[in-house]
Amino acid sequence: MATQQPVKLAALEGLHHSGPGAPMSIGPIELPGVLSFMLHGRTSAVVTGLDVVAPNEAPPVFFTHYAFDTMVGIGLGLLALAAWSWWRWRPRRRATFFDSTWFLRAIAGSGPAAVVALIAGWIVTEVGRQPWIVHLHLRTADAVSDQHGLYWYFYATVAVYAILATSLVAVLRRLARTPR
Amino acid sequence: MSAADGILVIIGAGVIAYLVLGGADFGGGVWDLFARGPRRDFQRQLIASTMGPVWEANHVWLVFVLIGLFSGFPAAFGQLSRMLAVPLAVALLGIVLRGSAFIFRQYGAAASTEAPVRGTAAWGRIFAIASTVTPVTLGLCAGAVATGQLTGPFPPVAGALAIAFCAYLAAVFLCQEARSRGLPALAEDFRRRGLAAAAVAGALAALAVPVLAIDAPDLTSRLIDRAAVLVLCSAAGGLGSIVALLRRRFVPARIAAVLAVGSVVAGWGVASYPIMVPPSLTVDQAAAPAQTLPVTLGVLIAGFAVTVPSLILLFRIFSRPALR
Repeated sequence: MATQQPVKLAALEGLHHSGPGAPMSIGPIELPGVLSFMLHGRTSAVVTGLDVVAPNEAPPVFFTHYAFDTMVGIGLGLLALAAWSWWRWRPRRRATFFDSTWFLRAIAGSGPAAVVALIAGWIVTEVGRQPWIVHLHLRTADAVSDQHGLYWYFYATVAVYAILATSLVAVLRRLARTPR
Repeated sequence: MSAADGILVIIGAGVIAYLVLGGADFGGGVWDLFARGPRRDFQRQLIASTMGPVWEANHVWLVFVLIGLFSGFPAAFGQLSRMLAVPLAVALLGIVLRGSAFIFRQYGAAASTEAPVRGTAAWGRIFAIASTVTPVTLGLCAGAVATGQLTGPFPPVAGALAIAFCAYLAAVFLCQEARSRGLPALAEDFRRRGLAAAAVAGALAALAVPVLAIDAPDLTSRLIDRAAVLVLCSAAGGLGSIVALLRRRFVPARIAAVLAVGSVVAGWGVASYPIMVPPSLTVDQAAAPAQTLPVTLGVLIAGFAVTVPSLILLFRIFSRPALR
């Protein structure tokens, strides 16, 4: 991505200024030089920032950056959970593998978390590519249909999926109550 | 044969497979809607248990058609998606609601100990209605692709023909399903429905040709001239399936019904070539840049090579009652 889509990389790392010693931002924390080192093996390496393009040519940084942090954070969390499982599975402790409320909570939460990470990754790649729909070939604004009433299509889609999601939850809750 | 022609063949095969297999699924919903008589609930159960295992698998053919069109013939894809925006939106809604409603109905149905969940019956109706509306709109779209316009008398006839084909295929397929499960009374129910649907579909197909001649005289003359063999195949298949149903030979009836319906699509394709979207968009004009076509064709062939054996295996597994 650093060579093919440097602006997307800058957006997902929240890197505003090009230059050497590019920091890695995790939430409010900035680790100076880490991004340069991760990409090129040297903290002095120059990394392209968002300032190489006009503001209206850059993707929305807020969504891209925090979606990326969410994805990476959940990924690391799942790795930690796997390590925790290995630790609890060690010989002589196996019998009590499930005897921890917080461990069970973490296991239960890991399923939805994996889906959230998936969606966050999707947001990174789709929002991070803006304003292009095909990188450097076709702008999203030029690609959108000029069909009338496109917003009705949108409202109808939202309404249908709201109904389906509600029904799905109702059916799943019922199945959870009466396992067959 | 060029790569573009190869992609066309894949698209055509996808349309035929979707019409025959997906059409039978839609038709099952139609017979759910029109379940009548003393064995009404048993008819619905047979339809649900036949469709359950292959639930939405047959939409894979539609995916092949759309990807082939989108990657191979972007100009045609663009024209068609503008022209058919509204009916395609309705068809999409129908496909989504149908698939969801089928599952919600299954899991909401009464367990042995308790009453069915509130709304289960409503999902059953939505499943049946969406199964009926979707093929009509897709047939309407096919009619519009054939004539190049959504207005005119042919698209509605094509919509009616599509739903008749679905009901006909489903009824003929369900005869053998019922017999292989040892349910001769249900086989008789669907045999009668199959004969009625065959008569309706045959009458509509016969009506469709003169109506097509009004909307698209060129296509009609090429259909009679160039695709005469396929038109005769379709007629022979239709008559053959009626004879087979009358003699209760359900497996030959299936083969004949597939021949009858598949030949219509094949004939349409042969007659239209090389026009992709009437009046004037040809295959060459609509095709993607030459360097991408062989890649697209290769991907589609690879996709077919995985999908076709998988689905054959799926159908084989669930066509053996002993293994259920």
